[in-house]
Amino acid sequence: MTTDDELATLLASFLTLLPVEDAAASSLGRPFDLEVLGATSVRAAALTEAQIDLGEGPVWEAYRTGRTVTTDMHGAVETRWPFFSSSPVAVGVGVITVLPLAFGPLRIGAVSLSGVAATHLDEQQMTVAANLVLLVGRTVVAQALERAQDGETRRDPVFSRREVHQATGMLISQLGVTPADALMTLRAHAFSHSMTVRDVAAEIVAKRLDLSLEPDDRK
Amino acid sequence: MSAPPREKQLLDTLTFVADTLVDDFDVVDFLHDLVDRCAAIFDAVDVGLVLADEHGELVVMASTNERLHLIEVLQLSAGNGPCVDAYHSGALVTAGDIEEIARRWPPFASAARDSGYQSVHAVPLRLRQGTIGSLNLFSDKLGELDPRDVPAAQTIADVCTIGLVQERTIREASLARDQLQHALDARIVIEQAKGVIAHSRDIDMETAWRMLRQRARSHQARVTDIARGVIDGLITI
Repeated sequence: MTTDDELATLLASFLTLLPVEDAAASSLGRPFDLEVLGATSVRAAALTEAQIDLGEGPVWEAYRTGRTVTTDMHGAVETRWPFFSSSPVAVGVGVITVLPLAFGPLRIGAVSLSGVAATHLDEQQMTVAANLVLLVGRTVVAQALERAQDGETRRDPVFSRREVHQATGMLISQLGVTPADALMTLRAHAFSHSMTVRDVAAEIVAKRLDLSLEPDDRK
Repeated sequence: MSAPPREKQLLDTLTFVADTLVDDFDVVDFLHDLVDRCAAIFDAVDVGLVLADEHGELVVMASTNERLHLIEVLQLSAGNGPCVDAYHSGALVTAGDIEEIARRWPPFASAARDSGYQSVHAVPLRLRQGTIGSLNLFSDKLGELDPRDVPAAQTIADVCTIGLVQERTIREASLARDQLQHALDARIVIEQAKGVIAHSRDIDMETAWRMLRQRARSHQARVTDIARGVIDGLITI
């Protein structure tokens, strides 16, 4: 079984053992890239990816605090993450439970559990979730080490940020700005057009989108 | 001058263990510190710690003094003694006077008597369903381990076990971090450089990558270094 398969199997286990419909694992900071690592559905991936693009949301809080975060999306707009809770992906999502993802003292990102019919997890279910998350942490590190060794010859993971980095490079050349500003420009365009950062990057790399032009001339 | 209350000593020990579980964790230092703290908390004269190696053989890992170290080695080589019993049974082993020690473990009793030990208490280091070693308290006072001290002694032993188990994970995490950091930096920089070249030369990513590698080869430099130069605008390809 490859580490990709292992991760998929572990994420599927959350759905089998717990009253949740979606599960997604993400890495949110150095020495890992900012990306969705695996998800049980497109909806699960989109929920996490939106938070990566916006820079706010329960996955960020869990990652930064090292604590489990629960949020009920049914209620009023969450003041903790106003942009995320009012974005289209959050519509119809029930309770989201996010556990921090780590390997020993090495922080990786988060595991997000959610679904329309999802409910708050009780103590026993939280223990199950926590134990599964430990296994996810080990698998993710093994996967990352494998990829580090394979270098360019590996196949692209499904949610790869490769194009985001390439698009950032193109913007550096196009706009004559620093990598940080280039990425910020990319994110701003994504936000204002309700697109994901990865989709905007794909458009830029395919040369269908040129951010150096005036807004009306861009597409 | 009175000793700090037991609760505070225990809390301090737990804090010490938690603080120790970071990158530079040294297991040998950890175990030595632990036995020293134990001796202070339990009014034991000497404290020793034995662990089973990968073959299940007990090895002395730490002692508060050399004399005790020798005694522990004696027990282990004889396969006989309170620390051996605690390891095999997974239960607390306590003997309150020298006569009892002599009765239960004759070979080790004379060495214990010579060192002035009157009582001994061996606490198992438990990990899930098994035992990985034992924490051994030797006292110059008569009497079995006070029942009120038993939970505290087991807590110290449990915390020690957690520390040992975590040590491996911490080491692995440290190594992983270093390797991955390097790989991540390289990957991001190379992909960004491809983007810069692809745009400035109006070519595709594959061709950009070939040109990047070619430049690195012809200058006998690392691809990552050339890539960084391209992004910083210092190198034009």
